[in-house]
Amino acid sequence: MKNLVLIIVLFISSVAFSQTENVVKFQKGVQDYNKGDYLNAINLFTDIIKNGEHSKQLYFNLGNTYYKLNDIPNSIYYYEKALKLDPNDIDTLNNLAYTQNMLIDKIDVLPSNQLSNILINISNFLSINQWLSFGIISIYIFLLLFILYFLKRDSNSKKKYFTFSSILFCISIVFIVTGVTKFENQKSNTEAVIFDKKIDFRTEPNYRSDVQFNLHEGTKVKLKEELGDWVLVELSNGASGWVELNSIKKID
Amino acid sequence: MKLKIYLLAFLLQFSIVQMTAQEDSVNFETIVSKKTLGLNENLRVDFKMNKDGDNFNPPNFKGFRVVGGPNQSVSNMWVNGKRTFSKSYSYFLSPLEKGSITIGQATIEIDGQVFKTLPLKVNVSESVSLSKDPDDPSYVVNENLHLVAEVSNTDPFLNEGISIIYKLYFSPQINVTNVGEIETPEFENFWSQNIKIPRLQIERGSFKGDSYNYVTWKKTVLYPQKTGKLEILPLSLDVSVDVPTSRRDFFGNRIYNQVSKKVTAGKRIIQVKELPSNAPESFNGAVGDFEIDLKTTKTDLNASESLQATIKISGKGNLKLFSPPPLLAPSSLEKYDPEYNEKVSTNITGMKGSISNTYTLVPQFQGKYPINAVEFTFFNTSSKKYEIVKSKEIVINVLEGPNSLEGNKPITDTSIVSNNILPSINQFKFIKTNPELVKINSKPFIYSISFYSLLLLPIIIIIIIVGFFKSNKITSSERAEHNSRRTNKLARKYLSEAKKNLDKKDLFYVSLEKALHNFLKSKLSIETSDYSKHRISELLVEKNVDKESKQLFITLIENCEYARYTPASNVTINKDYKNAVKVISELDKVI
Repeated sequence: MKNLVLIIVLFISSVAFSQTENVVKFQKGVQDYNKGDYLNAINLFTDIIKNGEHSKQLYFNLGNTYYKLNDIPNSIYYYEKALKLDPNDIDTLNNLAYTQNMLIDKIDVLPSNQLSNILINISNFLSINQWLSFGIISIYIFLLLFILYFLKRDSNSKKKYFTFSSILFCISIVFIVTGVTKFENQKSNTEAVIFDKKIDFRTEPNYRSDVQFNLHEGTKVKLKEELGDWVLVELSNGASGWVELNSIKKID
Repeated sequence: MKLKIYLLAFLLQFSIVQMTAQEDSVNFETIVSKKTLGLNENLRVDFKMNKDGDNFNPPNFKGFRVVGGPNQSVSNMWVNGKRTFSKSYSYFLSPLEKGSITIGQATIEIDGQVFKTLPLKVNVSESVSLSKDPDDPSYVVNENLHLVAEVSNTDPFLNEGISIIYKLYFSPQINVTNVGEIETPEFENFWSQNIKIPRLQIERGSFKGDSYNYVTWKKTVLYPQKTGKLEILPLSLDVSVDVPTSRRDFFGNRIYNQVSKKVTAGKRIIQVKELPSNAPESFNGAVGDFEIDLKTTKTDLNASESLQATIKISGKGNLKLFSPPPLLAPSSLEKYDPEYNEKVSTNITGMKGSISNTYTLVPQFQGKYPINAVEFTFFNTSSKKYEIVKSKEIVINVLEGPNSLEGNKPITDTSIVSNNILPSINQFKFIKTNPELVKINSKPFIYSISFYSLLLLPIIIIIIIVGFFKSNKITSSERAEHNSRRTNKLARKYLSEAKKNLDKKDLFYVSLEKALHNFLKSKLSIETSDYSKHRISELLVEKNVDKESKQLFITLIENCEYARYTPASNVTINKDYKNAVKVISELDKVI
């Protein structure tokens, strides 16, 4: 029994210690970055991720550090990870634009329709978990109002509570559906960054097939299908081809 | 007299001679330079006639090969008013076989008559060693004049430079007076460049152990463009040579004979090897030894200023036969078509120098622009391997200018507003200092057990609540409604007739009494005989009817009885009806 208590205490303290340790590492990384010791900063920042913690700030810092080292694919990779956590972060978007200036390939973005743009913007307003938790919160408010509707005798207030509760029910459904569709969208639209200096886009997932075109490091692609060591990716301009899985890195 | 006879005889003879000369006999004959000859010797055949004719028809020189001719020569001579004409067709023949060969008949038409020559037999014997007569000029020339083609490498790789040098060797004994090119070799399947020789210079050298003079006639650098056996066609020169004879002139100097001689450097075969098959992808045919250099005119500048980036390949090899690798610059840099520059000099060892592409780049936005290291692959002929050289990477810093997120904003003049602090929206942002670390949740909240349970819990709660309320409803509010419905039903059942007669006093009370009576009869199963106020109140007490209701019921029965004798107003009728409804429903509940 005593041993068990000791183990629990040790475990809790180690967790607490690792958390403060990560903060210390973060601060040290920031200092190293400021001093220009970028390699050390990267080591410290990636250690934090290895310890199981992250934040958009951490990814943003990693993106900046790699930018300073002219490592385009890593820089874009971490900026994109930061944007996954917060798609509207102005600083990240700003610095990502700097890194994208360094890309060799320029790929036009297909114009998407206005309505879906608006919907995407709306869904980007909150993260998936935020959407879902707001939905769940409104379900509980709906529950409360529904109970009130039942308890009230007076038909006027009954009417009032019934309207409120149905509005909240609709809101909660909208929130949860938004969260779920956003999640499903993200699941089907896994993106990746090209890490090889130059990769060939082939018509089939083998070396015998023709090379359609080639792209250089740092370009973002969308994953479509996987087959063995090969993956079918799509570019923002709609072109697609098979590339080797180990020449790209998924943003997840 | 004797003198007269001599004179006469002389004149006579003269006239005879003249007569014979004027006789115009046609003579057409075959003349050969020799009747017997060696297999390796040449024969000259002349068909000679003393009168001009047409349609000369030579025999078919069977057993011979015609190496020269026909050459035509005509001579016309007048000597003391006498005309001598001769025309001949000459052929140079080389025998093909040993033995006696007959030269057939040639025909010619003179003055409408056809004349033929006689067939002639020639003996061809074994090859004879060429005359070694030191006085024979052709022999001397043969011995002392040589044209040699020197090839630097007869089995080069594809695109490896080789050189071919034609040297004319001649011994000091003879003098070369004039050289002319008859046949210029064509270098098919080669990229070739002649190296100009400004002045022919006589140099000393040795040829087959003897000391010779030589001139370098022609120098060519060749780059084979095809693999396999390639042939270089021979070069032929016509050389005029002064050959010394054994004779000497009056002053004791040797007399020279001028001889013209055709010399040929034989055909050469070049075996071109294929390059090894393991060529890297970026190989574009460069063979030699090269270096690459990437340079920019500046590395720090403002947006919309321009800079030049130059990719330069320098070294030795087939520089003119490939182009420098392309520049890999970010697409956000405006890049213009390159300007090609070639500084290549060709000497006998091949091409040397540099080729370069100069690109003009114009950055649009501020930021860093790395220009990737350029790789260049070539085949090194000395190590016989593919080699890759890489330039250094250059990073261009664009210090001032719009940010690409904002688009093309006019650049603010910093010299004027240098003291104003502009909001730094455009700048590359510094890293964040607040960690705000959270656990990386490996499992998403969505579709998790807690997600489902949180969603389902309110629904379960609602179901429970609805179920609970349903069972409670009847006891409270719904009961009142139920009762009123029941009362109405009872009233309809017993008081419908009384209600009809509300305005007729007598009929109303009769029907009301009847209704009360019926009600009691059905509820208490009371007999008409027992129908008395006392009995009724007893029964009602038995059934636990409260006092008030009992009293009301009794009052109603009394009212009915009084109404027969006393006048009643409308108000009392209505009051009595309402009371009846009330009391019936009250009693119904209890009984």
